[in-house]
Amino acid sequence: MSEDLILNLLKNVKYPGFSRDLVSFGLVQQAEMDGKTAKVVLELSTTDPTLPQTIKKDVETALLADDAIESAEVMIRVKKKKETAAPTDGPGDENLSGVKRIIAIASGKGGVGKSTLAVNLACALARMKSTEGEFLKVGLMDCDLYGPSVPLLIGASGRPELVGDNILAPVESYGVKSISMGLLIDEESPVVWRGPMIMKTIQQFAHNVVWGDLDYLLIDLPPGTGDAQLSLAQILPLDGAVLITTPQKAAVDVARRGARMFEKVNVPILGVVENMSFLLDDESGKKTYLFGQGGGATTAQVLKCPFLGEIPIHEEVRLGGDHGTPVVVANEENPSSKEIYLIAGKITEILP
Amino acid sequence: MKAPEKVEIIGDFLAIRWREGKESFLDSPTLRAHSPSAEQSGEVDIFGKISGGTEQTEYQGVLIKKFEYVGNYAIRILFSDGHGSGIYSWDLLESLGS
Repeated sequence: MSEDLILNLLKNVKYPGFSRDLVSFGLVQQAEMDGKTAKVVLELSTTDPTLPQTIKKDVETALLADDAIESAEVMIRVKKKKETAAPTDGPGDENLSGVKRIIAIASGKGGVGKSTLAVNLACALARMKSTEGEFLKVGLMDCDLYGPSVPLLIGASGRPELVGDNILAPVESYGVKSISMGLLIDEESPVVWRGPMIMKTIQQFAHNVVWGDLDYLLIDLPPGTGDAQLSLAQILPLDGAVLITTPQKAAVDVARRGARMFEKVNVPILGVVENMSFLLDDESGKKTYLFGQGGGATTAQVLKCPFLGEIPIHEEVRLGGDHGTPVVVANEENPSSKEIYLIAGKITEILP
Repeated sequence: MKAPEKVEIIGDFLAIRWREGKESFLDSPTLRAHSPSAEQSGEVDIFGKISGGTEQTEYQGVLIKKFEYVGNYAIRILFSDGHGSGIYSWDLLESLGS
């Protein structure tokens, strides 16, 4: 009977942060009356050091509010199992704590120019200024582990320096810090790995590389919706993905599949970029639509996301890659460069 | 779907406060029984046949030991019976809660 009185009173005490009461959560281990003293034992499994005190006070106040109770003895047991330590503030990570925005550069189909675009976007961003007038700090993580092409395209060479116990420093070129499998193995060695190794490597790219303070970390992904994409979505709190496609149906259809994958893992699509949109005759200005027209815009429409731009095919883009001098660095006035700068600008507007 | 504001283990429950002020309180045995892991639910082959998994649906007394965030779409829960491969997306948790 007296126990019921106590339990009824405790049903009015909510667990801090939630609308449910202590009794419903099953936290009351013991409740009894000893004369006019209410004795209560609660068991919590929280890691928040202030919570037991808060709850204790709430319980005492609730009990003493009843005339039948003159004093209250409240004991709180905190289950001190190591296993109960759970993160409460979302994904956290030391080596990425200085990174403001993480953006994946993705596509469904291969060969649409993801890496070329990732490198050029990274360099374009690094040459733009923040509202405080400082150059943006940019990183580039090459998650195409089987076919790493970022080092060639951005002209990075030399091994990343070991700066601590299992900690690597990224290699810097044109103001962009990059890490890639291509920097860790020699050119001839193939990477022959199954899924779990992909997961492990991406984890280390994220956790064992000193990224420092970055405004943007771009991630160059391999095509498709496989181990690398899923691992990445599980390891990093991505702010969004930019989807690259070429205009033809073969690319557009799989691009949508890629986009749906990001939806499933709660990563917003920031926009669609159409690459290799047309061949521009420098003299006459005539455009030849090699792969058809409108694929990128249609994809953006279907996915209900912004269309960020169409980049013409230009020899200088390829030359820039071959020589490790990205076209946005080599020639800002090139028509492809101009479009890439526009796209980079839009990305900074969408994710400032 | 947006990540919830708060996820906490309280007693035998996983308590979730969603962004719109809605709350879900999921008890450990229910969560364990609905683990999306192939260990629990099996895997589908190209003929639609399910292989692996288990028939067991009763997990009385099984507790949540801890959980960790997976990207920004899910949590992975470790249970007291050793099962820890289930990745519970926000969508799944919300549907289990209603």
